[in-house]
Amino acid sequence: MSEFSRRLPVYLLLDVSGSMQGDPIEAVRHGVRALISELRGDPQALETAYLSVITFNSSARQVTPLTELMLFKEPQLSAGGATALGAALRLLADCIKSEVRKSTETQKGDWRPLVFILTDGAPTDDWREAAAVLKTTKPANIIACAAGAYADTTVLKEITECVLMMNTLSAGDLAQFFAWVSSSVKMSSKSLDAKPGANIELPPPPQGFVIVP
Amino acid sequence: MENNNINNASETVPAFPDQAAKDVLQEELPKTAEDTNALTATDVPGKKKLSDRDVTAHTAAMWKYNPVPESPEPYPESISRFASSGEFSVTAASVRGKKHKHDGSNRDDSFAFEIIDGMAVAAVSDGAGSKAFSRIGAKAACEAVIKYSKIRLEAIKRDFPNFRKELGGDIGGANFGNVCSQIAEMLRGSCAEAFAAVEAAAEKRLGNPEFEAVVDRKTELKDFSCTLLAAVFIPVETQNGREYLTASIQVGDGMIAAVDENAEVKSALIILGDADSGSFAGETEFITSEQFRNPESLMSRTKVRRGKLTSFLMMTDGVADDYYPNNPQLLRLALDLKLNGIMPDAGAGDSRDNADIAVPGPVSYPWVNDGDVLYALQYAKNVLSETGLTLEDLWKNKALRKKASLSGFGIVHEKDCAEMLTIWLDNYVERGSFDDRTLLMINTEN
Repeated sequence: MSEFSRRLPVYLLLDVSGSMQGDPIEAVRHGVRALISELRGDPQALETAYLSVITFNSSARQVTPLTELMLFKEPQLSAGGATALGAALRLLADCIKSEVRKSTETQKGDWRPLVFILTDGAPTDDWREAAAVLKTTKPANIIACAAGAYADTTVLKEITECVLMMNTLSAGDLAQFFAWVSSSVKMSSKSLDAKPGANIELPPPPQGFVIVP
Repeated sequence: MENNNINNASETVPAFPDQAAKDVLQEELPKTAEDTNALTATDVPGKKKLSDRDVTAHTAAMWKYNPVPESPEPYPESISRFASSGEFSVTAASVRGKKHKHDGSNRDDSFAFEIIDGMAVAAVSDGAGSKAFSRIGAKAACEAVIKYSKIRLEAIKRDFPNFRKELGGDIGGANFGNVCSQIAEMLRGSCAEAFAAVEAAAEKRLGNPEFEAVVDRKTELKDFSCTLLAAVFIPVETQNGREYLTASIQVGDGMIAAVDENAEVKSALIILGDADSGSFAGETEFITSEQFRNPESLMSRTKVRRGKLTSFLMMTDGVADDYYPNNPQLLRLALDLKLNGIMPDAGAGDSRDNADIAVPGPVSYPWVNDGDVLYALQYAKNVLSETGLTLEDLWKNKALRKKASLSGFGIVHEKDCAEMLTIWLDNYVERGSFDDRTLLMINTEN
């Protein structure tokens, strides 16, 4: 029979640049594990959520293609190098184009994808054009999170209206970020019938996280 | 007669006897969320892909039941109704979906219908999932369609005393055209009335602190947004014998269709709706959109048809999306309704010797409301995939349908049509399908 459609595609764009080495990348690994575990406890996520992980440092890689939750394997993450956010955004756009299914006459499409970007620093490559394209074409609901003192929220604001700032890259903060991603995925179905372009409803951000106006 | 179940876990409809299925399920299903957490990709031996059934078997025990919140204005978990005119019957049910049961929120779908003088007027509505009081909008919209249509039909009867005869006459004739316009205008007017009714409902609750507490701000019309499907059903006598004139309007998603069980599969399904949708799942239009204040804006959405049919169906996307593409998959819906004894199956299919065809049995899942209760339901999808037959084959082979049906497996029950429809809507399992489900079905005697 035909492949399951009406999936909720979720993309995680994770900064694995040099500054993430040590505790931060360990906390990210832990966070991804916790996210998967949380989502696997939710029947709706189990039936519909498909996850993909894109990492970026000196270049961008889709380390996990869009995979259903029950079969998702934790990706190997290691930190080092620059911060090619532009490459990540271009790769994201390509992945969405090739992996996400739009509604056709013969097939119900996927829900509008959710994208979570986590970065701790300013981009080191050409990112403006890719950001502008994403902001105008809106192929997904993008939520960007700037972590720590060196993250640049003005850059993220060029990609999406929805930008959060967390003050540190501490294990606690990162754990909270991933818990919030999990709640957002679970909650997203409530606002999935919102008109295109309208803001989706998200749970309140964790303590110490600031919504950038 | 009407059935309203408000969180009556104790007054449940008894399950079909299915101890064997229950025993199998007890072994296979994870008992807790922890069991599922323990499952990693490495625990799925040799399976690069999971079937949809693997996934739903896994999630079956995880869907929680939380009753409808006490306030403000809770709606019954399910509603159903059956009524008969002698020449046709109307069966409708609307049930709270698994997602709302899991979250502990209200059913947002609604329906209403009335049989008037051997004709039927019907409405189905789906309250927007992201809007807190859309259930109130949906109910108000449906009731307004019926109320207005009743009054207008009386007026049409007075002004056109022979209108039933005229509707059965020459389709190209002026008389037919005249009356058709009246009917179509009536339907459009009822949709504009529906908009006004939703506005009034919103107005009535403006400034109500209980409502404001839910949304943490002042309430607005948008909070009551809903889709609307409205239709009129009129049996007429034509020179080709008994036919049915239907006029229908659709704003939003869901679907309206006619089925003729006596027709060849290629012409058995007539799509009478046109769903509004965006590129992604879930994006749709609502009756509370400014453009619909004016009935004229609904002209292009009004579909009138006269022809043979044995069933007329209206449904929200909670059902329509499970049979996609609607053309021809709504025929599979008709088959599911027949296999489960909800839609009559008296059509002239050809009987054949099916002794050599092994059909899969009905499948049981635990009821979300009470995990100890199992409902066995048959799925045309399974019959087709296990036997390798096509939709057309099953459409033609009535005897095989009988063999594959619940009754064919010895599952006999005393339930009436409305109850069976409720049970089916409440319990059929499809991956990713957990929205409220509403289906209104008009079945003719032939």
